[in-house]
Amino acid sequence: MTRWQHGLMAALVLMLALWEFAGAWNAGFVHQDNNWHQAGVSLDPTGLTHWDRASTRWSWAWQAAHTPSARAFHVVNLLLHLIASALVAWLVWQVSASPLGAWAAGGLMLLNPIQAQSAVYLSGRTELFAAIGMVAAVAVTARRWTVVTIIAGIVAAGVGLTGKESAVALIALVPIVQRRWSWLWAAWAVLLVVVYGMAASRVYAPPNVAAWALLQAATAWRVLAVAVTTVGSTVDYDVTQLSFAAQVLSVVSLTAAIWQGWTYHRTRPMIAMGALWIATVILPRLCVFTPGSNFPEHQFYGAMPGLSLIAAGIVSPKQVPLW
Amino acid sequence: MSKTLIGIAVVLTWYSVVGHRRVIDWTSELSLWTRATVVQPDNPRAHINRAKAFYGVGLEDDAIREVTIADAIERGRERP
Repeated sequence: MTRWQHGLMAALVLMLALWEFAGAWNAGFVHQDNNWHQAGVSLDPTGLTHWDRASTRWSWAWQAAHTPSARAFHVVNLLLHLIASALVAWLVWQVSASPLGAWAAGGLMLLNPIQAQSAVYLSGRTELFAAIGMVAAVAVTARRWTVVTIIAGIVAAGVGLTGKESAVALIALVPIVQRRWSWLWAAWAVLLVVVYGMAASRVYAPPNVAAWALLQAATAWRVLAVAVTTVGSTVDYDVTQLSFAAQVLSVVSLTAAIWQGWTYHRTRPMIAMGALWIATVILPRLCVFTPGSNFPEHQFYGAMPGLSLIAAGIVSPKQVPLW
Repeated sequence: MSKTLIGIAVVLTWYSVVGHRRVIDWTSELSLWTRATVVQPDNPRAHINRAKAFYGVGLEDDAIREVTIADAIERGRERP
């Protein structure tokens, strides 16, 4: 790509982002944002002593004290979304040196309509911090494992894990980006044990693991379909209305799509990376039981870098990971 | 490369157009839950939350209608 083409793409993406998120300028505290804002939860001093989602809650508390307007909260969320999108573009650049892939991946992460729920819904800030931590950690260690990159990766992981515990998916994302395919089953097993342990200790373990996992996997398939087609995006979709047969069909489709992605691991590794990334981020949600909340769209934010990697692999088929 | 770049630009522009509408859904309770009832008309929770949104802006008759719809869905009856 020429410098002129880079400039044109940068201007276009910036202009499209300003247009897409212009509505947030006048948005208020909506849905659960309204509850925690009115309750002053973010300023609860006892809550701030815990590490659980600390970076997110500290950022809320700081804003509530210094910049309490809804507009200021939205501006910070959008800046975090911009940072996450830039990191996804950098990750693709790190693994492929493909400028086309980087623009496609970063643009998809920034502008896909399903991202509205994470970027504009202030409670979605947990997902933004988690994704920033996950992507930064794997991007900084993608090419070299030196003392500096390892320390930077640990710091990034800390940001992610204190944003939201779902960043624990990093356990399996590292071998995916490193293309250590033989480590993946072990990494997934460790991830599942850790997540189920975390869920059980907080009484979030499902009473019926199989039924819950089936329902959640079906929901994940629906959200993935919304992300790809841009059709059917909504808050709190009631997936329990899906019949058992539809749930099974959804799970078969999800598994088939991820398997199809994996089949490209030799010819187009970025597509395989993306498919496995999505599977890895979805996996913990199969164990964490949240009554009345079946994988809302903002929780797909951590999986979007996977879809972005797939997009990068499609637009730059000749690019292979550099190492 | 130019064709691919144009393709990327077209897809991103489409995302931005659809996303703009979605962001506006998230600007108020009423727009958010109205959208939810359009996407999934048989979701009682969406109708209850839309009722709350109507009540919040002083449209009590509309709120009662939404509660009635939610109740009918819950009971498996036909909608009024």
